Amino acid sequence: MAIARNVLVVCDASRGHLTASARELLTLARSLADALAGNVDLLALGAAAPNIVADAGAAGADQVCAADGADRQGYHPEAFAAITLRACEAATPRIVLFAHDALGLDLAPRVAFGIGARWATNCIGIAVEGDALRCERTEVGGKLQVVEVIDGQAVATLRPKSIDARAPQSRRDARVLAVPAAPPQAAEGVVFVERRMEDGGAAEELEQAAIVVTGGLGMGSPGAFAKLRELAEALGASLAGSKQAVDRGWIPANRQVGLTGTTVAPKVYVAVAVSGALQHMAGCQKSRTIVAINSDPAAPIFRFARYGIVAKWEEVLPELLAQLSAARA
Amino acid sequence: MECRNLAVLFKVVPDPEGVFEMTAPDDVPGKSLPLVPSVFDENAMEAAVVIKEATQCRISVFCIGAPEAEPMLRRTLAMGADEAVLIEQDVGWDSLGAARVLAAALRASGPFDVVLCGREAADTGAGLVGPYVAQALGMSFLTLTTGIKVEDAGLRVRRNCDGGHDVFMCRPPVLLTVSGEANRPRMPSVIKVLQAKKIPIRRMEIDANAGPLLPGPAKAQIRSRATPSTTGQCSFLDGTTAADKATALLNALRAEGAL
Repeated sequence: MAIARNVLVVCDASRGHLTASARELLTLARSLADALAGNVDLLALGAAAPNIVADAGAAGADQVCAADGADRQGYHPEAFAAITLRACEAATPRIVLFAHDALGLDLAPRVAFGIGARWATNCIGIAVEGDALRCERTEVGGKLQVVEVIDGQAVATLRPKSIDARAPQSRRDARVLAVPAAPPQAAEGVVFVERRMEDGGAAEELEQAAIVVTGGLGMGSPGAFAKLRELAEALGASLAGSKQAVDRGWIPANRQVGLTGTTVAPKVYVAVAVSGALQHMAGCQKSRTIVAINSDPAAPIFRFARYGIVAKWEEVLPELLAQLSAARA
Repeated sequence: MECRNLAVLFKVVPDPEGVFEMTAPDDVPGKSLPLVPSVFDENAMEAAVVIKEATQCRISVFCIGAPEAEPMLRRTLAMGADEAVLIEQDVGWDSLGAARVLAAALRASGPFDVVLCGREAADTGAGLVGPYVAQALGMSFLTLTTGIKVEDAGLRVRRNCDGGHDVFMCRPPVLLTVSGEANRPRMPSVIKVLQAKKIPIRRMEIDANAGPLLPGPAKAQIRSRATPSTTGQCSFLDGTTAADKATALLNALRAEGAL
């Protein structure tokens, strides 16, 4: 049997457009498909195929799957899994790529189990190596790097911000690949009830910010976050918090950076009174320059930081604010 | 909702905040570190106790590991589990292998109306075991849940999505993986801790090759596992005053073109 050569990208398009992480997936998919001499096919769940063919083509896709029910709003795990399995039949992928996000982490295992493929989760890079796929992934929140080699068909989730999305190229629209309807479902055990949008774009803004200022448990109070907001404004930065800060209500949950929050990779990440626990670093360690301000010289954050200031934030913050405002004047 | 039997999949891991050194490629990572409960499995345990309070179900906790895991299993008993099962087996860092063993253990001990586990283990970070156990047992499942409520029709479950959250109704039998936002695990009282000391831990032996095989190669073909080269050496910005330090930082960032 000929080895499958195509790459199928499955992404969440429920916002009506291709997100940054979808573009990262398509960028990776393009390089894999070029190495395999195959196609890049895209299944965008939550959007109608005709609405994204231009965007998808510019981002690197050859074909967009048109499947009945793929444009349903909300997340329908069992129905979406059935559609994705049908798309796999139509696209015959060597590898199915998902983002390591809410959609990918639920759908990828269903698809991997359904097609009997190996599932590589939390990948930070994937390459073609001879006849095999070389998946680089992390464990223990980035403390270990694992290289896994997969000979057969693979399903993989790619950590957001692991690679740079290529700039859109206005070459051509993607073609439409018709996917036959999925077989009728038995009664679903997990039924979607409703979706509530609540962040007003906060997470997306955070993802795209060039500078992010984050406060941790050591800030100590909601009032301290008002000070931090001043610093963020002076730097033209987006304000974020660690999980501990969010748990205490000092900053809304949609501004949490970390494993259970948003993954960011800004030019500058300023962590103030953040200890640097693993779950937090999973969401920011791809930042280009990490600055840590912490009174504890043994805080793990300093292992990740490019620049460190060992001092109480109460002493450093007013100085930074004064000097930034003096520079502006 | 009726729930008679509930299972929690519980993992103990080398302390993820410790230093993971790999001296040889086939080293067992973190083997010298103290064992701690995998953080999200504690959230799963707390969610189980909340379901028990509403349904009076019986909670069984399943753990693959060495006898050193016993104190942590006792703690789940103090939190409200009715039995704790230790499967002494070395599956290493192979998530598929662990899923196969746990699915066999549940098949032998069940049926279970609800199965809960953490969204991912703190060591492998894969999030594979829950979905694979569910699929091996033919159960519905939902991952990364952030809130679980018992209602007449089933479990009303919250889950984050891009820009908000989704709500689902889940009918048993169902497996849910639980995220950190779901709850704060309770501290068991001293009395419950003492009572838990008297409950024996059940030992179970599993033939990992019995039962249907899960798809994919049985073992991961791991080529290498290593600690990444240190991510940038930290320059500590010295200065006698906070003003000096602030100046040094802003200068450094400007020199990099970062500001």
